[in-house]
Amino acid sequence: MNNPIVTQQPIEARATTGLMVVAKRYLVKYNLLLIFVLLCVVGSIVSPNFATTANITNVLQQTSLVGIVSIGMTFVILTGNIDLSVGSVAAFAGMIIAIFVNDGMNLWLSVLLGILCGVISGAVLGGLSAFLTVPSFMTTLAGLVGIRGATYLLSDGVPVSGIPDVLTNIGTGRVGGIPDVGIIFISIAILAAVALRFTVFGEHLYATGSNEVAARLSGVNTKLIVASAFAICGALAAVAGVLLTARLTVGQPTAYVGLELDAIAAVVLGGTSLFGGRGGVFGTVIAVFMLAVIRNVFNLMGLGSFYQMVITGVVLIIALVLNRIAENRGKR
Amino acid sequence: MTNQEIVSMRGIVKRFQGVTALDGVDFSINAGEVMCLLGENGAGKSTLIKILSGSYTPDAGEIFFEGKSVTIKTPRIATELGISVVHQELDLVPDLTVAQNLFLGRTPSRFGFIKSANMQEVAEAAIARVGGQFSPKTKVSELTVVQKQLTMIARALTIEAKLLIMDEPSATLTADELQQVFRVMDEVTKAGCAILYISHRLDEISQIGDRATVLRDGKSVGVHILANTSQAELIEEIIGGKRGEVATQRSSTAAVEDKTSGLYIDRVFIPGVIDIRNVSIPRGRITGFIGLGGAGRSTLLSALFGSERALREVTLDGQPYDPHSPRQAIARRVGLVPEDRKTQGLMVGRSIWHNMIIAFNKKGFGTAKQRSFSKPKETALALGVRFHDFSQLGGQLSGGNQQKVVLSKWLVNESNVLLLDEPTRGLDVGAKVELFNEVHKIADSGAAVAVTSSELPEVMMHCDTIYVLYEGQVKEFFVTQGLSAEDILHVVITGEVRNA
Repeated sequence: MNNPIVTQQPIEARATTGLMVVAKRYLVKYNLLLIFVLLCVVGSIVSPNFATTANITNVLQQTSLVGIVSIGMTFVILTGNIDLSVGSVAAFAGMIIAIFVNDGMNLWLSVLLGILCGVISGAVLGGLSAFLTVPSFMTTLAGLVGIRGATYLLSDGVPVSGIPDVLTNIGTGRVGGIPDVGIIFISIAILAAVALRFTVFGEHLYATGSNEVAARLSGVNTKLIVASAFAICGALAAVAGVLLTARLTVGQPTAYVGLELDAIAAVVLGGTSLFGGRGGVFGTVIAVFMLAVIRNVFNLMGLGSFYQMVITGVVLIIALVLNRIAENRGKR
Repeated sequence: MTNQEIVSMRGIVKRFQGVTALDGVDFSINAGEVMCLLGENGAGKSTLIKILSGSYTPDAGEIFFEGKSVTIKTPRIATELGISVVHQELDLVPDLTVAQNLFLGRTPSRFGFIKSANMQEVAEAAIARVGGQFSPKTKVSELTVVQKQLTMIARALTIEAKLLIMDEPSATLTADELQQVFRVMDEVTKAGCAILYISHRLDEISQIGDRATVLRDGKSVGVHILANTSQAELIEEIIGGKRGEVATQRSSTAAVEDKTSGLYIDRVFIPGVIDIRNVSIPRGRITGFIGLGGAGRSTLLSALFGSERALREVTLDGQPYDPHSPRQAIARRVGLVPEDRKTQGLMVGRSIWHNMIIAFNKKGFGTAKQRSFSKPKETALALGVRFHDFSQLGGQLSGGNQQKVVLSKWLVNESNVLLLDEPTRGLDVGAKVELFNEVHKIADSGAAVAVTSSELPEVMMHCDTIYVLYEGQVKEFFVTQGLSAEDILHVVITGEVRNA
């Protein structure tokens, strides 16, 4: 055997050397990015205000919180699970820090406790699903209802004010023109991407999502991996909740109703498979921005939110279809 | 046996996007005979079947059915001609009854109402003809695998098929069930129907077949009368001598009862399932486990790998060994190649590289890529895995190469106790030989290897020692050298030990 790595499909292998084919392969891989860029071009044509610094930072400000939650959701969906509780968890965390602070607790300690609540709820709901092998759809649906209820109970259903300026400054402040929350979002995205790409944890997460049995028989503690993914998702939901309280300057019990659907839409639009094992943070980030830009362009054009909802739905379908077509092409 | 030709194909060519699957194949089959179709995976067998059954149309060549030139454009035309296929994945509708399935697509009716009584009658007669002992009112989902196959054959009978194509029916059957299917096949051929039989198992082909056509690289390379042809000749023709010698029988006869080398099982006990005692899987040797389905072969390996709960009184190189999870087993450098490659062994949607390193990076936060980069490549080279890119997905490889990737996962991890559960299942003859050649090398390098298989010749050819399991217990122990197949087979089937 002088050369055991023999080309199985010589024709395909030869074709990949062509420049056009390389270009095509990248186009297939990053088709979402292309759609996003096109959307931005359309945006700047239809509205002169689109490409201004003020508008772009505004979009970043609005989209970062959902973005943070979507990154957490990416971890969960990569394992082939789903987390419906993120909206309630975010509201709960945002509420509990408002209450802690009002009770005179140290601000940073209460923020830490708020995020810890997210970790615990994620670990418990995800752990229940993983260790008792019940569908995560159900455990987190229970979380969605139960934790929202707990949030109302904490505050008797009314907003809680009295958030110190230090925190509200983070919610609305800027560094060098860039919103603080945007910086937090991008930093979390980079950290998450590194964790998924380059760590053993990330490797095991993908393996669990790709084939849970094979991963377990290869020594991966798959149940622990799934529970960890949920804990991360819960933590990031709580971070978003704290940041929203910071921005609104009150703990709002009705905050983030329906957030889980926005996050799931962004993750799936970003190319992560609902069956797990395929996708990543990069796609999610692009998808989050894409959805935000659509909304933004409509605002700039002066069209109401009813139009936005319809068009967002249509764009979701178109993007998913295009994505699937590109994927099928790529397979050949 | 009448010699009237049912189907004759001449110069069949089929290309897929530049890849030639069939390259001028000639093939013919006579009424009342069992013609076997042999060849490696990728030799063109399934393409040929799909052309016969109307799923593909050939790019060139002619098909004659009972002497008349025909074009089989759709599966429906094939059915009308009298060609019926029993697929590997039995395509029956699970929620309908047997009778409903028998008449699927041509339900007898009057003014749109189903003629139920008529249906039951004909269905009952058809089931009786194939020797099935179940009511036509049974739901298909409640049938066993063999009953489903019989239903498929009954279906062929009700449409008065002239050619019945059976695609690897034995892959999912036990030996007893297979004999039942064989008896029905005899009946069918006596009635004048021709059977085209596809299987990788040469021993059953010599039992049931009259003639065999061998395909290699999309060409028909020979037609043999099976009574006059040895298995060795067939293997030679199937693989075309391109992969060198078929591995010879192992010759190691070193002392067997060395309890300090490799795995030694005092007892592995799962209540009601297995109770295995005094089994030795020493280093440097290949230990075979054979038995019928349900004899406990796979369960034993799972228990040894920690993926099945069991009472374990086992030592590994003299040290106590009691893994409660695969992770603990892997930490002791034990690896398992599971029974079902696609659902348990391989991550089909992950790249070859990711599949190889998954068991390796157990600890640490560092980047897995940098820590072990050269190793998967070396292993793939050593095992002769054929691929063109490390980023190719596992699912895109052929069966033999997939199994090598699963195996190399443990070599990357430097495992030196390997548990191989039916490692050659679904592989073609050439791939089996290649895989076992590697297993021999691994054993020769000092690893302890345990292999289960349902194919006796394979176990006899490749193992140093053989344990026969019967209903969860070790019935007999053989040293392979100089053994005859009948000696073992008797114990495998009956569980009785003959006095030597």
